[in-house]
Amino acid sequence: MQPEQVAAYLQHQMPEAREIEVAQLFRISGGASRETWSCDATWDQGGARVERGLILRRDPEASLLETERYVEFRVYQALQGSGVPVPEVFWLEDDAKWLERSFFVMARLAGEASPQRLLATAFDGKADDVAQQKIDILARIHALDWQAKRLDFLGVPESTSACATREIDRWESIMREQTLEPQPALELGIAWLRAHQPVAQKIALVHADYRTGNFLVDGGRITGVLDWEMVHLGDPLEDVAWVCLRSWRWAGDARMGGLFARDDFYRRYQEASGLTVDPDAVRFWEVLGNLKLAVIFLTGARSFIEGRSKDPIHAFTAHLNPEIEAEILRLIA
Amino acid sequence: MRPNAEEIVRGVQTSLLSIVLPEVQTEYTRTQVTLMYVLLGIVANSLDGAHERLLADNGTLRELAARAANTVGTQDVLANELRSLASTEPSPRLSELSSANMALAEALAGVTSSDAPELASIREQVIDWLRADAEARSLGLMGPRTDG
Repeated sequence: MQPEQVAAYLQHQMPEAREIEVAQLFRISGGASRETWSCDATWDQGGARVERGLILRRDPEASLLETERYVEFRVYQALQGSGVPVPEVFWLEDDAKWLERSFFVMARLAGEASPQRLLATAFDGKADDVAQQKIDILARIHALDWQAKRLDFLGVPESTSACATREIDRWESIMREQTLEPQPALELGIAWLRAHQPVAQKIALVHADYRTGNFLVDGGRITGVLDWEMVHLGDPLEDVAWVCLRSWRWAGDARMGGLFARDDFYRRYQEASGLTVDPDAVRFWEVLGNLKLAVIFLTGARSFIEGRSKDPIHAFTAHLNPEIEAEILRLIA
Repeated sequence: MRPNAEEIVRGVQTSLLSIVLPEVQTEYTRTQVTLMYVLLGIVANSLDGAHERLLADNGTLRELAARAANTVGTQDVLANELRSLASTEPSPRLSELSSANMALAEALAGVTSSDAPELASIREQVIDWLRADAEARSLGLMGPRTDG
């Protein structure tokens, strides 16, 4: 991707703008399915010079996860002004003539997302504030009136008892499609999940990748929740369990996402959301979460093995699967 | 004397870290180089002992398959498959050992997915092996447990 290509696209979208310049174009690490690029754009408009930090989310050549770009884009649109901090989104582009592949453009928000850097600064020295915001925002996501926001295009589960089945079906089918070898541990996990399905307290918007690393922190304030690639409607405890996965205990201790102990998280989430955290249901969703991670990594491994991806992350993450399998077998024992 | 495969890979790893990484300008590319370094470490670790590990794994799986075959009964399709896999001679080739490992794992998955009471004991043994195998192959990157 070159700055001139981005400038040409901005000119196409803003014909009234003059002297468009794009600088500091670079790729940001992370993102399970879409490339993330940052740039500074400036242009003349109405006699003034406008400056804007932009993020471009471009479809990859191959990814850990196949998701539809319009889903993420439309959810970002729907969440504007909802109390859930998200970046403003501008354009969704399917024409590959601009940047070789489809992409969308959104505003760049201030803040740091890297878990390692956030931990190094103890979340700007305000870890407890960030912890509470993380919980409050999650409760806000789960309280959102998704019907009023016209998010039913995400697919509405038939009932509160269908949320679990839908997610098992979704990830089992991707596993069967992507795996290149037998997966006995994952098969055991799937069988256990089918026998232990909880009934959701409500059908809510589920971020489905809500963790330290997927929100921006600036001066001890969460400025944006990112990476809505797996968003869907379902059981809010799915997000609660995802927060608790051992894979996100970045600090190397028992704190979830480097922020809070499990019991503290449950208590504060219950207060913020008015929902009850049933440990058995969370255990179910933790098993599902680990299965999901393993399947995402299998998908990446396959694209690497078949030569569709040259990204080393796709080779590396597959080597995380034995530990995830061990975790599944431990949780279902 | 010349460096063996493992020594070459470890040498390339060192070069990546000491020569390439300091020259890299962007954070994204630094992350990519670091990942390549980690991947080469995985390769180097697997170069020495991969054959022995697969031989040992397949030996354990064959033993489990033979036990499962006897429990399932003589007429069963699964029993025949397990018996046939249990009696296969180990190959000296890594690729064939790996294929045999997959075939054994697949056949034993038939045991773990069965809820037949007579298979309960062998089922537990297979699950124990799966657990031990997964733990042995873990990179140890997950955080600590909080639930005992």
